[in-house]
Amino acid sequence: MKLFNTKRTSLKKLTPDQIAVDIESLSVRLNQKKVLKKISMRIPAFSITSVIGQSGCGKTTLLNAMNRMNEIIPDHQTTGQIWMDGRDINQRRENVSSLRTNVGMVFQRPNPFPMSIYDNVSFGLKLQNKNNRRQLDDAVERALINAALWDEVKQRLHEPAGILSGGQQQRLMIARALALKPKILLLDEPTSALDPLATLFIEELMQSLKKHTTIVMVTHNMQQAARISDYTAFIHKGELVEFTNSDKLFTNPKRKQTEDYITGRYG
Amino acid sequence: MSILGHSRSGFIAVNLSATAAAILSLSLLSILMYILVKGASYFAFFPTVIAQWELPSGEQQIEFAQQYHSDAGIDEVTLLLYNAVKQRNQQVTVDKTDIVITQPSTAVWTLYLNNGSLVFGHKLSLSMPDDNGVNLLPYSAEHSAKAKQAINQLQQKRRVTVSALAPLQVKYAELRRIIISPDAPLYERLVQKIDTQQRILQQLDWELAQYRLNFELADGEAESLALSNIEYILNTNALSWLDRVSFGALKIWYFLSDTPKQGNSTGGVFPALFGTLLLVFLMTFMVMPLGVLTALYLHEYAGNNGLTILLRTIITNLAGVPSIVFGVFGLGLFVFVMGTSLDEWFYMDRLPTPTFGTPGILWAALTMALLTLPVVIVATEEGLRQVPDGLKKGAMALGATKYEMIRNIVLPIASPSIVTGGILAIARAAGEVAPLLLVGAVMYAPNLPVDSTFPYVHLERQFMHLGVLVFDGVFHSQNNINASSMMFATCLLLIMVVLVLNSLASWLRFKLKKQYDWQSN
Ligand SMILES: Nc1ncnc2c1ncn2[C@@H]1O[C@H](COP(=O)(O)OP(=O)(O)O)[C@@H](O)[C@H]1O
Ligand SMILES: [Mg+2]
Repeated sequence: MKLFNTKRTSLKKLTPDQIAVDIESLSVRLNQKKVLKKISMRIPAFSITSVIGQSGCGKTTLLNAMNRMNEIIPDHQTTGQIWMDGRDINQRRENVSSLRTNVGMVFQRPNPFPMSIYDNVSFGLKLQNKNNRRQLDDAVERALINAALWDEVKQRLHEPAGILSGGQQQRLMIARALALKPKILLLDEPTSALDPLATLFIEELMQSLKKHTTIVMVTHNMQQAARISDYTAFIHKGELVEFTNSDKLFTNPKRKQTEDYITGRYG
Repeated sequence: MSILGHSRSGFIAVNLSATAAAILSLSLLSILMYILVKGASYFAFFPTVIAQWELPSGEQQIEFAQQYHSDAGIDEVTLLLYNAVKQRNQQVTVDKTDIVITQPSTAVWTLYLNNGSLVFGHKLSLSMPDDNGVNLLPYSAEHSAKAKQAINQLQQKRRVTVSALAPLQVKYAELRRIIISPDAPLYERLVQKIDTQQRILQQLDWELAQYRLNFELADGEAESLALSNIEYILNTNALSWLDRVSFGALKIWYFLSDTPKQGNSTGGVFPALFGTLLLVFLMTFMVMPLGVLTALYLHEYAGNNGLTILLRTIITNLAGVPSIVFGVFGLGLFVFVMGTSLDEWFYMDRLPTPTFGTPGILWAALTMALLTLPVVIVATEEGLRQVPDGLKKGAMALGATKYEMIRNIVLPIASPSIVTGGILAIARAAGEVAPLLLVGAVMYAPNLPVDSTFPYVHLERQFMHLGVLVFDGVFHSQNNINASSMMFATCLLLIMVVLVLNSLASWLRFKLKKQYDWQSN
């Protein structure tokens, strides 16, 4: 039980090299609607940070801001800074493609491409013109091992990804992102479409991944947030209400809104 | 009670639609059967008969003829005979009451001439020259094989001479343009060379004409034809059924590989088949990139603004424009504006003879591409709409640029629909005739758009087309059974071309669909 693990650095005392993402007064408008309002938060490296809140409060938008996926929406507007590795990724000169390879993303519903398992995992590498067969083989194997999927699929790498179960597909999506060796992994409700056993698998996987990767996860499931994440941010109507150690947030919330949410008053 | 009534009316509705479906399939089937039966008779065997009948004047006429399985009625007989005076075949219909005899005969031979005519005769003999002059030999397999060998040799020599002559004549035409004085030595030498070759040619032609087939017509008149003008000499009535079948197969081969003869009323359809296929391929290569790019632009890049809506409206309405209007447009814009400008820029030296400024297969293909563009755009957009957003986002999240995402994810998944668009375009383009008549298709073209003279592909040339041949054939078919069956055979071929192209594309679509079936997830 990690619920009351107290060995965690307080968010206030982070040194600069312990910060993976530094968000400063981030505001996002989508189709003229203010979705995120002046959000500032520092996401610690090599840890799991959960983002919770009612649906429609802007969790997905916050994740999408970190790899600039909001830009897919034709009418979008982002202000504020997001610092990673000493760069503000919101600057115009930022190379969005390489940003997205550094900041991996896994979606709510597994979305394997209509290709083989192998081709799904190597998709991102091939985009970077890494076509050496041996190196690709190695990278695919490593990614699948890291995503705890290798033993299940090593015999059928060249079969279509569609034959895998939902839980396996979601781990394949994690492997697909890991193949690019991202520093940060964004997961948007990764287990909400999965059964409890598959969920458990993914949760265990995330624990092992955080040794090398900073994980930011959106979840609807508060037990899950409390169980596996080191830090939790609560967002309400586009504003960051509270962001602190998970055990603190779930046992002793500072703000009334947080308390109302975690005790189920918002549904 | 009400439930019963409801189900009863449902029952009627089901019955009605089943009936409609049955009628539809029946009419489709009967169209196919009709064309199949009519077209197949072009390759069928007809008995050769001795026919004698009474003319209105009371005189009797006696002829060798092919007797058709007539559909003119049971009290009439339709005969195909050879008019030796006019040197062509003639179809006559005789009342059964006037007939004295029609009797199949193994004494009558059928000569299939190179020009497509059928000549009937008996008492065959061969004229074969040797060193001592011309010998008259009885007609036999052995002798005719010998004659054939000699003729082949002569024809081979003739071909060599002709191909030696052709470049000389081209040079002659060039010199005539640039050299003023006709007694320049260069000029004279060339003329001499041409003269020599032409004399050789004349000599060869004369030698060829010495090998002759002599025979008698039904009325006893003696006739003789150069063997080199005869394709086959067959005693059709004496053929075994196996020979008849293989002769039918040979006729099919000739139909596919030979040129039309006697004003498109007999012979083969190769130039038209070739023209149709080339047109379809050119059209496909033009319309597919254009259509797919337009659809991609509309669906992936253009915002949902007034311009897009206008563009969509234009495309939908373009699909409703009558095809003849496309022909007029193609003639006006492509031929007269674009073609004429091309001539002025690149073919100045040939003016006033136009090169691209006349109807030709390039302009025809472009017109058909325009005509089928809406089909391709609509089908492609349908496919693009089926690509799940999740996959697009997934690709972008892995660092794909929009272009890479479209290339690697969107286009493969949409490819079955794109191919469907291609199928519809091909089916439409292969069957359309009216606009083609305006922009380059002709009843008879002396040359194929692809041949062995530089630059090998001549897209400025006019071309023949199966649909146009059918259109032309309808006018012969009133009073000529052979031409009519050829027209139906051409229809059949056109249907088969469309069918084959369609099944190729369907097979491709099936393959692609199996490969990129995201729905099986
Ligand atoms: N493409 C869009 N256009 C306009 N509004 C959007 C768009 N996408 C999301 N929104 C709005 O932004 C808000 C936050 O959305 P989202 O970040 O998806 O919420 P969450 O993930 O917390 O459920 C919602 O109210 C939604 O209506
Ligand atoms: Mg969401």
